[in-house]
Amino acid sequence: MSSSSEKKKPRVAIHSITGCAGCQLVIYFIRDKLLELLGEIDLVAAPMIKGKNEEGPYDICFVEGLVASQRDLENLKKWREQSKFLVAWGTCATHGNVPGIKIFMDEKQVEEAVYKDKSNLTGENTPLKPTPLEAHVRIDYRISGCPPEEIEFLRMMQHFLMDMKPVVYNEPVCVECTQREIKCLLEDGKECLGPMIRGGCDALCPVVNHGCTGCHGPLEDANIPQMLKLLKANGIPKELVKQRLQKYAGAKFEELGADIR
Amino acid sequence: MGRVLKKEDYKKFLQLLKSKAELVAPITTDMTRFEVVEDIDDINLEGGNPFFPIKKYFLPNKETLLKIKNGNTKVIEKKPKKRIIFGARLCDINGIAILDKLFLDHKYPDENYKKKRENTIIIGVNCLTSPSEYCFCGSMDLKKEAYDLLLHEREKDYYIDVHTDYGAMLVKHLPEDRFDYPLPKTEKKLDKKNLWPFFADKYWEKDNDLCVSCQRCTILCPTCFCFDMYDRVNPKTGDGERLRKIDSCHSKDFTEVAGGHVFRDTRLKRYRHRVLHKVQFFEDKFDRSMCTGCGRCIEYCHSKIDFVTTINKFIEH
Repeated sequence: MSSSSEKKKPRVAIHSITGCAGCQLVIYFIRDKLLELLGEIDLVAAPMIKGKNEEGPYDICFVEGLVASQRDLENLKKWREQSKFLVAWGTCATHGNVPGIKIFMDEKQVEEAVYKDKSNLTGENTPLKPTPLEAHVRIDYRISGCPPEEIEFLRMMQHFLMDMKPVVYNEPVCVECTQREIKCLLEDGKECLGPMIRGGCDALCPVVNHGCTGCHGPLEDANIPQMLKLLKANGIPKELVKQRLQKYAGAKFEELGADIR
Repeated sequence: MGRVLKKEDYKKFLQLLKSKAELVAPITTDMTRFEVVEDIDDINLEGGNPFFPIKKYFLPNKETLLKIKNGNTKVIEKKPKKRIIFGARLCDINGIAILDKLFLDHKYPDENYKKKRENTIIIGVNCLTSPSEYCFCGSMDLKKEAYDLLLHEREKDYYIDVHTDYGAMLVKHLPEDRFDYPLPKTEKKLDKKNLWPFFADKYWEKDNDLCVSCQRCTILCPTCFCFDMYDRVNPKTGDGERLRKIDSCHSKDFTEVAGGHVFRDTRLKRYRHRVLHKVQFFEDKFDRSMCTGCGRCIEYCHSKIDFVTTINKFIEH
């Protein structure tokens, strides 16, 4: 693979808008493998760990967080224009996540509760309807997770660096859960969203006897009506199911036909 | 030809097995699984058919096939562990016979599978009663093959059917006997028939509405073997490995080809394909059903979709 050293290193950016920054931390916590990777890429912008950050053009730009303010939107649009590949990194970016719950509540009430002084919610601070990135710009790849798994970042970078089309894990949680021979919680009459949620987490929660709460968001072709029937059959209250579906990807579940208002 | 094991010598026999190699057998905790035996008293043959079939010892969910170093590929020549599987039932064992057809009975055997197969001794137990209400192996023409030894419990002793030389060596100290043990009978029955005329039947759709595409049916099937291969490579050096992981025809990505086209683009097509592959396509090609009637795909289905009932209904309208 001598060609890789002659090739120009890709310009990579890791940017953030509204969110808890946990998804970025996943990347920085990779440590050894990240250091190895830094020899292969030009990390030109990563405001969380770098003092000097360059504007685009970027070859690959990871964006965590969701659009919740005018500033978020402006930044996102700028990065989109500056990037060859834009990756939505984390469930805020892909599905709206917890801040997205606001769309199911009274906007004014939420703002009253959060901000004592609302006078500076103007200009670039003007709140917008909390939405995932793809509501505003074209997204090339989506890696959900709250936070996503580090292997998903490494796998994607490997594919980019080898000029391959990145492959994102796209199977339900049940796959890894069953392969690890974990006793099915759903079968046991408990609450678990596993069958309709994208896995890749190695069944993190079911392993410790906690049902999947859906932090990776739903699969595009999930059979939601049947899943709701299964949860109902297990005696899970309708209100609780609604809250669960609203939590990480409410807008997406609505788009897929779930009644969670 | 076979041997006879007295009931009071059963534990001694298990101890003998444990002393020869890694022994795996059904062990019940929160459910019954094939696990490595630390203490032979943990072995439980009454806990139902173990959750995961014994195919996991031959086709693991994920395995490295070859290493790539300095631009050269090298097939891993690691010696698989010597292992004895005790307590497998005929459905799982017939599953191995079917996998053997695909991975061994060919001009190009799969080396990884072959090595594991050669280093494993399978000791079955015959089912006197069905371990689960979902069992329907009685309809699946199971064969007495692919095991080394098989225990059949009789009133006062166990008859041990000897099928290979390896097996014979393990029981050569026991008295000989000759007995044609009966195959298991099940209450649930599959009415086998040519399914081609029912390809577009509306009953598929009824099942399909219940399917959540979780893939548990294929993962837990003793004969589902479909896999995907991919490379894990250091982009700088090009060193790395090629891996094989179990895939599923219930996954939408499974039939995606270059350019993004998906052949089986609906859940209905994927569900129907799985069932037809098991009981029609494979039979057309190899003259034997690929399904061994273990019933796991029904028992562990979230919605308890029962393709046996569906197929049985095909005559009624």
